[in-house]
Amino acid sequence: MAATVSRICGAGLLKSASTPSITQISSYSTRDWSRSRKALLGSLGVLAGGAGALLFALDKSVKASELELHPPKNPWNHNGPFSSLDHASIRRGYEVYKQVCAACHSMRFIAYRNLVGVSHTEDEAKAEAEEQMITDGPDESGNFFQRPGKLSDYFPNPYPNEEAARAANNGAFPPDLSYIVSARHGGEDYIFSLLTGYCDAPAGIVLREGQYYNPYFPGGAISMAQALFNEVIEYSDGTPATASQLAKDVATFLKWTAEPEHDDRKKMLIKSIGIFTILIALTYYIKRFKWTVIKSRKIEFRPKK
Amino acid sequence: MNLLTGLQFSKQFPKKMGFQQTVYNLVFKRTSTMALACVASVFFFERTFDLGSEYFFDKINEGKLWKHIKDKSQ
Repeated sequence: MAATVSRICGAGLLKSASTPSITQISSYSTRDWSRSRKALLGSLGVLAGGAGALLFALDKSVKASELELHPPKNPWNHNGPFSSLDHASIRRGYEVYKQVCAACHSMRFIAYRNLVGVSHTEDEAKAEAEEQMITDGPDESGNFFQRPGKLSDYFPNPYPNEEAARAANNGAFPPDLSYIVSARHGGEDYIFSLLTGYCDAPAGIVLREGQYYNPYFPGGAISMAQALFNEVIEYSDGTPATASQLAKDVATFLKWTAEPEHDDRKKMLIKSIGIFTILIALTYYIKRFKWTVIKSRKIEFRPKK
Repeated sequence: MNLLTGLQFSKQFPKKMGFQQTVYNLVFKRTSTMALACVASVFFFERTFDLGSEYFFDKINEGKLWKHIKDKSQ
């Protein structure tokens, strides 16, 4: 087969292939284009570039017009490349969420079973779940009924639907908090600053009924009232419940809910650094080993006399 | 045959005769034993490597992980 192919094409392959390649090259050249064709393509290019630049400038100007305070970077003790979340803080943060935030904010993607081995033992998590009444059903007669929660239940929603939530909060919808840390610029720093950053509105800012002023919230007018005050709840582990401690703990808890894989990811980093160190060293050695023949070779040119 | 390669080997590397030669003859010479050795060593390497990196992680995060605070909360 191969022999036949080479017999047929062989002669052709040996021929100089100058004619087709020259025509191919000439199609990339603009030398013999007509004047109008050049003008058309040129103006199209300028138009496209201009439109892109305009969009970029508009985007920039929109961002510049926003008057908002960016949250400062806080020294979280999970900031390091190998640092895990502080699980005592997650546990306290859960208490804050349950007693303060859960009144308005849902957390649809976290189940009680997720707490096991993170902030609660299995028995504690079961007890937490049983405190909540969950709507289940339909039963044999087609009715929905209430039952105490199980480990497999997700955190209950404070409102039956979004419309009910809006109606109860002046038309503002309290966002679901499951992934809020990943969903906001600044992450846990933003959450912390927002919760502790309430202040009186500066002169000239008009707030409508049911709005509060928070410089960290885009636009400044937020429909959530300040929720965290000193001693607003009592921690079960006896930590003094100052407003900033509450905010820090709930921000850590929300960081965990947004990134439940956080600790495993950092453990994986340690493992991959170890494995790749070994592999890189091995690759370097093998490369040197295989190339010794070539690197130690000497090629000499001796012209004929 | 064995004797012959052994002889040649020992001529080439007269000092490294004993242990390396035995390992070569028992493990590396045959593909079957080599593959078996790979599988066995991977098992032990993986266990030690995992335990080592987990120990490192726990040391860095002493007092922050659930297993460290589990007994305190009870």
